[in-house]
Amino acid sequence: MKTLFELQKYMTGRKALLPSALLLSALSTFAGMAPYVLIWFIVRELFASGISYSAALINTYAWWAAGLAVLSVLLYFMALSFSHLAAFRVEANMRKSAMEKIIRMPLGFFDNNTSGRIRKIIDDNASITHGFLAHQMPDLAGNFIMPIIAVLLIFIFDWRLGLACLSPIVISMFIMGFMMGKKGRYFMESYMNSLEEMNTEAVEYVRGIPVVKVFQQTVFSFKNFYKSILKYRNMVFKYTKMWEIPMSAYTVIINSFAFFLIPVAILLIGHSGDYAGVLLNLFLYVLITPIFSQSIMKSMYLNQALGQASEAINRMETLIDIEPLPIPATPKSIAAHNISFMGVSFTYPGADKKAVDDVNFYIPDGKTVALVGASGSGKTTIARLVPRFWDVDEGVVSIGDANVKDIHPKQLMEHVSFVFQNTKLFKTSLLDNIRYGNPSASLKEVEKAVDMAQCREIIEKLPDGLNTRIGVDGTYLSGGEQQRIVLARAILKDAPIVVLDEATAFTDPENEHLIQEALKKLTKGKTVLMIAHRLSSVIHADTILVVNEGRIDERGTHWELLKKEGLYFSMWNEYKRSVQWTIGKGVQHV
Amino acid sequence: MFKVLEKRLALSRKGAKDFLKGTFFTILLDIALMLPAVLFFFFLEDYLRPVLGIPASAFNGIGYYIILGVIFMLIMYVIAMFQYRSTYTTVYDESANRRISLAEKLRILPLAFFGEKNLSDLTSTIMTDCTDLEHTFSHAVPQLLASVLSLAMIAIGLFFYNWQLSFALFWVVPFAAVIILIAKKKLDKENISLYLKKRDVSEHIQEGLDAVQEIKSYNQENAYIDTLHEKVAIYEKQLVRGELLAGGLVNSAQSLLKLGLASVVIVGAKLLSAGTLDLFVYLIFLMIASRVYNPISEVFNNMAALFFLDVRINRVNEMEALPIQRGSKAFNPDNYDIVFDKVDFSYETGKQVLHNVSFTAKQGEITALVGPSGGGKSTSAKLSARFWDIDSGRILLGNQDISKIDPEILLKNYSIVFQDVVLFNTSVMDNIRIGKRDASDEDVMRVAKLAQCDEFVNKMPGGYQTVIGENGETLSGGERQRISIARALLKDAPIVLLDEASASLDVENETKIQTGISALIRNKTVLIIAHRMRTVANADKIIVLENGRVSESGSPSELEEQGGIFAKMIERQLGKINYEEKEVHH
Repeated sequence: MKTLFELQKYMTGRKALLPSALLLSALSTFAGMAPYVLIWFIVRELFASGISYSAALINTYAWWAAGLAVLSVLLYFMALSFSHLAAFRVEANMRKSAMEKIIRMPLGFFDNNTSGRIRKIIDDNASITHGFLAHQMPDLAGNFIMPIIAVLLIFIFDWRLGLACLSPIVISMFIMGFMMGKKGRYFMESYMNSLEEMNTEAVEYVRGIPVVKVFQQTVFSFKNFYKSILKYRNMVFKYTKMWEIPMSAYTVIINSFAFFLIPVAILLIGHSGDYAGVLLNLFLYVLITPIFSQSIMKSMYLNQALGQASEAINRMETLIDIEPLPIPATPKSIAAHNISFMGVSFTYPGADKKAVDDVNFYIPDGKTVALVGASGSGKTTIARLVPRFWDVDEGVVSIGDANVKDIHPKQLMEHVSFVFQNTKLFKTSLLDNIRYGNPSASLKEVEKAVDMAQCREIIEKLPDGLNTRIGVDGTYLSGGEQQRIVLARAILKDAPIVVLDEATAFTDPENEHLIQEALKKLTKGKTVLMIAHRLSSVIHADTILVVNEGRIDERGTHWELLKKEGLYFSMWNEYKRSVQWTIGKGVQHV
Repeated sequence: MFKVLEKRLALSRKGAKDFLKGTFFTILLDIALMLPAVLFFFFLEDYLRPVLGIPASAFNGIGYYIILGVIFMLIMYVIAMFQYRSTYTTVYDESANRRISLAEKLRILPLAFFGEKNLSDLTSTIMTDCTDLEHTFSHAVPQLLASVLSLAMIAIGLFFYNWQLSFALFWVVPFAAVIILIAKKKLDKENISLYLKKRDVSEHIQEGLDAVQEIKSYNQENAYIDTLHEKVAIYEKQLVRGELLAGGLVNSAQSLLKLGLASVVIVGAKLLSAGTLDLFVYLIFLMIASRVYNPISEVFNNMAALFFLDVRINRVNEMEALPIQRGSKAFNPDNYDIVFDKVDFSYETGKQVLHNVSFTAKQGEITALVGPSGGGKSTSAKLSARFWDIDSGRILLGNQDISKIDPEILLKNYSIVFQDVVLFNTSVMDNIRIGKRDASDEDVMRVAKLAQCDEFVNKMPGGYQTVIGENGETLSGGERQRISIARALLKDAPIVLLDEASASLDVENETKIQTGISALIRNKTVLIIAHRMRTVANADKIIVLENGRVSESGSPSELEEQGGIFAKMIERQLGKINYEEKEVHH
């Protein structure tokens, strides 16, 4: 029930659908019972009048029976249609509301949750609740009403025959309880687990094949997968073995109403001598009992589906149960474009070590500061605090003397361009991709940005120039080319502050040179905070900050730092060695 | 018969037998489940006599019916047990075998097959297919076949019993079947369109997640959400359309079935009053009419599930049918020279990538493949290890044509260090030991030191015994690369294929990786895909590949003198580096 109320939240504009579906389904159940009662009426008429029965009456009953049967189908169809409409709406709204919430998450959220995982949760969740609502939910009403009708019928017509009917029902419920009970659930769980384990092994196995082939280890890696397949099979064997007896007994019992009814009927006849009366009632029970079997079967699946649906909702809610970054009530505006970090510390959620530890620095308007350090030193984290990927734990990050937390996120984004490693192009035209930086830019402005970002030659070799769609019909750009397009986009945005991660993904030297040119154009006259990987690109920075374990160990210009002969000095020597490396001659020691 | 089953249902011979056995017992069970009705008919025939005014002397007593009932229940139980065993248990054997044979198949596919990106998707699809097939074969298919057969038997029996009433009972079935067939045809079309629209939504969501940085940094959240709403609305509309169509057709079929009930009652009543039908038969038909239609519509519903099966079975069969590379297990090369002799190659027909490529990479020498991206460098390097088979020409290793050698045997001679490193969810030690199964811990640690892994491994909580997570997710690009170099060192194969780019994945640790590579290539046949001209200044031979053709080859100094492409590339790149260095030293 709780699950249904949860789902009702997603039913905007169609709140009446679910209750209507339930109601229609209930009515359909009633109408579905009616033909049996009408057939029974016919039999009663035949028993009572023998050959001299009223043909008109029987005809009427017959048509009513058929009519109500059809009506029951139609009502059920309507119930299903409504429940489907409800399910579609819920599915649509779940996708929408999940994405609405997720897209407003702090950017850091996406570090911990890969896009594939998030999408899988959204998709699974939507399809499971869809399945439940569309197909199982309408049966819920029927399942509630069926036993009530059954009990009524049983006791209204003949309670002794009714009791005879009840015994197989009780026995089958008992068996079902055993199967669905603790042991059954335990098995269900281990079944799901070993299935998942096998699938994980499969993925790892396939991913590993290229490697193990090269090293002639296929048999070895195959072993793990093989083991998990056998484990799964043995698990299922045990599982099915356990169910063998109860399941077979269950099959027999829910089909055995006649075996219970007949002896009781004989007893009753012996008692009263009323052949016609007892047989007539018996006939009704024989007609109706198959419906019970069906409804017991359905409720078995219903429980399972309900459990899955509520789990899917939970998983979803846990995923998005993160506070979006607070938006200031009275936002401050950005007056100048200097950046300062004062006593900034930050720890990633769940981590025990500070990623950024008491960091202080200041970038005057129009100056360039570079962060260097080993991978994992915290330089990327520091840079990401400016556009509020995360909010700091201690200290203040401010732009033009306003704390970034007090600036409206929209304005913050307007003033800051950030170009990080994993930036992506959209599957649309190059023009749209570049214009993303400034949707109101004229074609002339776009062309200018294209030239500044050294993209002219990319566009010239494409069939439709700027209108070529990327990622379709086999039009792909190399990594270096993509980076340049991304830079064109940022150039078009022309924000006064640029936070950038110098490209690290390997590009060929040609591209690298062009990218450097584009970067120069992008950062000209801007306040720049740059994460540097290749030391050659920091030589001209106004200040270099050497980051080590979240702290700033050294600061100064390139030449100042070299004179210190500290950490930067040794990094520089290392760098020089790496650019002088030639294959076949070993590493020269400087 | 078995052959057809094996092919159509992707079953093994044993699986096909088991499947038939399961179906047989399911039919038997369906028949056995009619026993309660049979008992009821016995009883009616017996006790209805006074009602019908037939003189009756003696009735079978309660004991008779109880005993008969118990016997019937026992028969049902035994058959139910057999049915359960023959369907549920055997089917899991079959699907375990199917999984294993798929895995075996994957193992011997050409390496190139694994270059495609969606591999893990493909795998999980196949595994899900197996699970689905498992369910379908254990439950749906035998049940469906049994229902169809037992219904057919009942129908035939009834026609002999009373053809008029049987006709009244069954005339609706063919009509309903036609409607279902039409529905199926229409739905196929709708489903395709639905699939496309759903994919559109999914892709848009994926794109939003992938590009969330852009969306936020350019303040485009609202535009994104608006597009999402549009796409979802289109998808929802299609869902509604499909459902109304499907539901409408299926339900009209079911409504039609219910009309049979009325026709039985009315025809029966007419026959009864005409005196050609006795009440007992009429009652029996009434009872059958009240319950025969549900199993029939069940059959119709399950048919749909069967249609979906086709797609899955085809996927599994396709996988089984993929071509594999074979070759001789014996391989005795004269030396470790690699020779390309007039090699043509294309990934797809019509799109030739390599044209008449010839060159030799000598044992003990470094041969560098250079040229613009897309020129054929990586393709050539991979072809030398038989990732694919070539269209024409020959590739020789030690004077043996590699296309005639079993890939696994051939690969024994290669160490490959490319950009994409695959790691396993096990200890660092075992990950390196992939290079050589029987290497001692000392050997592993020795190569780890050479490959500069020692430092970061020692920082890990469990040292070499640290388990590194699924695909080594806890390691950085440079660390992964160093592990792959350690593996290659441990393997100590006579040929090294190397992508220079792999040295630059982790710029902060570039020198460490370079040190590892230098150790790896000592005295080997080295084929390197090079990007920086400076790196290959000391190579023994340079092959310039441009548009899939060898445009220049020779020693670096020869080529520089020639003043061709290589010389130009050097000029451009070294010019740039010199310029950088000038700045550094000014």
